[in-house]
Amino acid sequence: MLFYPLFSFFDLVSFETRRWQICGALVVGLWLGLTPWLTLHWMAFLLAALLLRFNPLAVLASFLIFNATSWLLEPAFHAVGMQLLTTDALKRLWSGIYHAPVLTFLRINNSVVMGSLVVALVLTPLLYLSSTWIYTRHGARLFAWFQGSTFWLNWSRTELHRAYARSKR
Amino acid sequence: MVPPLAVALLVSAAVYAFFLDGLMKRYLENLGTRLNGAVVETKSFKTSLLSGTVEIEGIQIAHHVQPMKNLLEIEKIKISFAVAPIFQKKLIVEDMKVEGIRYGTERLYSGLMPRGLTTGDRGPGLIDRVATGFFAEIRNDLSDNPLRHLARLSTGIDLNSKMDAVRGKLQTNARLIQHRKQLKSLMEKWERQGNVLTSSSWLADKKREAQSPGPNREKLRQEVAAEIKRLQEMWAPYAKELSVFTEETSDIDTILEQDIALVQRTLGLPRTDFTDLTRLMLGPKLLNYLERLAYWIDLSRRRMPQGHRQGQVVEVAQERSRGTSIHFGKMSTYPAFLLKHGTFASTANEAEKRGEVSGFFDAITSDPPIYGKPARVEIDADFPATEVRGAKIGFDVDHTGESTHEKFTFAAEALPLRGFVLYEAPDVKVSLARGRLRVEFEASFDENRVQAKWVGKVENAGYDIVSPYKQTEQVLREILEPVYEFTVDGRVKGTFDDLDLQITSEMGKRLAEGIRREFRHPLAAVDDNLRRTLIDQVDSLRQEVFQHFRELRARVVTVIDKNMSELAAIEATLSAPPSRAVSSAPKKKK
Repeated sequence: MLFYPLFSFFDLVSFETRRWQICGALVVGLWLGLTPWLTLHWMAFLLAALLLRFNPLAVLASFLIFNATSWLLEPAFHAVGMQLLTTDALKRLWSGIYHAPVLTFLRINNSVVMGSLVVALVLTPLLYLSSTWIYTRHGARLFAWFQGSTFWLNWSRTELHRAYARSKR
Repeated sequence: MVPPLAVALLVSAAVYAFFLDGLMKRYLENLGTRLNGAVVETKSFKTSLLSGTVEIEGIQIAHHVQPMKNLLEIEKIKISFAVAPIFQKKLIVEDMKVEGIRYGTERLYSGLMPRGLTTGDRGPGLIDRVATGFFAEIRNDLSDNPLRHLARLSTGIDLNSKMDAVRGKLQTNARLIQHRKQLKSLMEKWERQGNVLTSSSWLADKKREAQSPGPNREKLRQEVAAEIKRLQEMWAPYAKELSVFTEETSDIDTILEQDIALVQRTLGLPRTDFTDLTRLMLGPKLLNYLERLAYWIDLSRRRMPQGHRQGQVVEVAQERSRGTSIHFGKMSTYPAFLLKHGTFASTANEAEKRGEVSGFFDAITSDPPIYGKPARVEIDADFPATEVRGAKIGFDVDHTGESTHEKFTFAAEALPLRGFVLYEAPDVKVSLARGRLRVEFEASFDENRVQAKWVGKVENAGYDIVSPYKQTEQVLREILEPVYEFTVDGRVKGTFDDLDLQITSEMGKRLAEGIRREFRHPLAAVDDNLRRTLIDQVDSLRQEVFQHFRELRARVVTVIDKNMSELAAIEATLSAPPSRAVSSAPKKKK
């Protein structure tokens, strides 16, 4: 009984298992991980992660991976961002966005924000398409491999997992 | 089930209603602490986004050097800002009133900056001392203050024990010992080679052969030439060594003077050839004030940077902790932050230590080129409780153009100087127990150049002199007590890594003169004793070395010279036409 709230929460976060929910969640995690916090688009993706039916565990895993990567890639973001922000042909666009209500909260006048936005835009279709392909072609096989792995076998022998299995009957 | 969006809106409203003020308060205190370098805290913080007002009460700005004191305490700040620009991520403050200002109040707890909070999370600025190390040279220059070791003269100096410590560093001794060793080894080398000199019997034979004509004159000439060459080659290294020795020993007296200076420095004997000690005494303190001013100038350059104009668009780039933010300014647009106008209004209340303060500040903005107007601050202040009268501060910051210009002016009718430290060292501390300063100070900064000048008058000065050595204390008291009024003036000019500081005052001149007068004889006696001790040490060694030199010269040079002159004579005989044989038979009479 002690663990029932934990089991319910686990069910809640692992319930969404359809292809678009998993692959979409990875993309949302990408944006949350790469984008500096408290920008408008970061908040939008956070709301999407909370309100739409993406798989939360997948969002979290993707966020952790890309957030760790973003610290290493920051100099590259800065370089890309500065290149774009100082391009003469685009200055009218940036100036317009900078002075526009609400849009200014995108903070794309910052080089790291701009660079991360560009990189995220480029990676989004690649990540979605590749994860969709892997899920479709190899999803079942990967799941079977995971269930046969030493980690899962050891985990399934624990009291906690047995209690969870009993609660599902 | 409650719609998620409704939940999100409800949570946002709750955060705004209950937590926004607290979050803003924390943020501003944090920011203020990092900028000030000491704690900045507020009692309350109330915002109203609908009416566009902010009220902050009970602000304490701690002193960055005296943590138990507040630099300033402000009762209330009222801000009114425009609401619409918030949606464009711009904060435009229409008006700001600063009321109820106190100066130098006591704190209940330390105002030191908390650990983990740094003053800057960006790279160093152009005039950041920590990065560029400016003032280092001038500070070294100011460290040679004669007051540092005055006490030593009062208590007497034990030369012998001090000399032992420094004996190993004396160059004269080392040089003479080295020469002695070289000369000894030359002598030994000569003694080993002594038997390869030209033998006298060989010389006699050649002389005889040269005098008589014969077919072997050419062969003889060659033999003599070869012998001369052999002797010359043998002599060459000795000649070189002796010449080097002569050269090196010619500057022994200069090296001795250097050793004397080294010992004087090691003993810490003060120099008394200064005519004015003001620069050495007040210079370090002035540099501290200038450094503090340079910090605020540097901060203004980072937070209110210059821009780059391209047609109708002005771009201002600011380095952030992550990346660079570029602010794009256009005609008739606001910058990201603008404080259009603010006023100081405080009425004096001696009991509450509140001062009479009036003044204004204009055009404080994050993007001066976009706004197009230089920032300006002017304050008039009197703080009767702390005896500050007639203080006027002016600060102009112009970053609207291609280069940066800042100007700072400060004037005061009366500033108390209670406990103002003039000089502090392990042996002696000189401070003003009482005094009043009237001052006018002006500084201007253009890029990395600074120019400042000041004139001050100290009145009713009383001194507090503390030293563990009563004689030093008494002497300084006698010198300084008559100096109850004096002017101080000076100027600073140059770049931050190459400053020229000039400062002079009557007090500094009287102090220099007094020290010279009082300590001239003891210093001269110590100096004389020191010289005699060093010269005595060196002389015996010097005599020994020169004795070796004379012996070597006598033995080597004399012998070589004799041989060479005999060989030269033989060569001369051979060069002349062969004469008839000299015969002992009497000439036949015709």
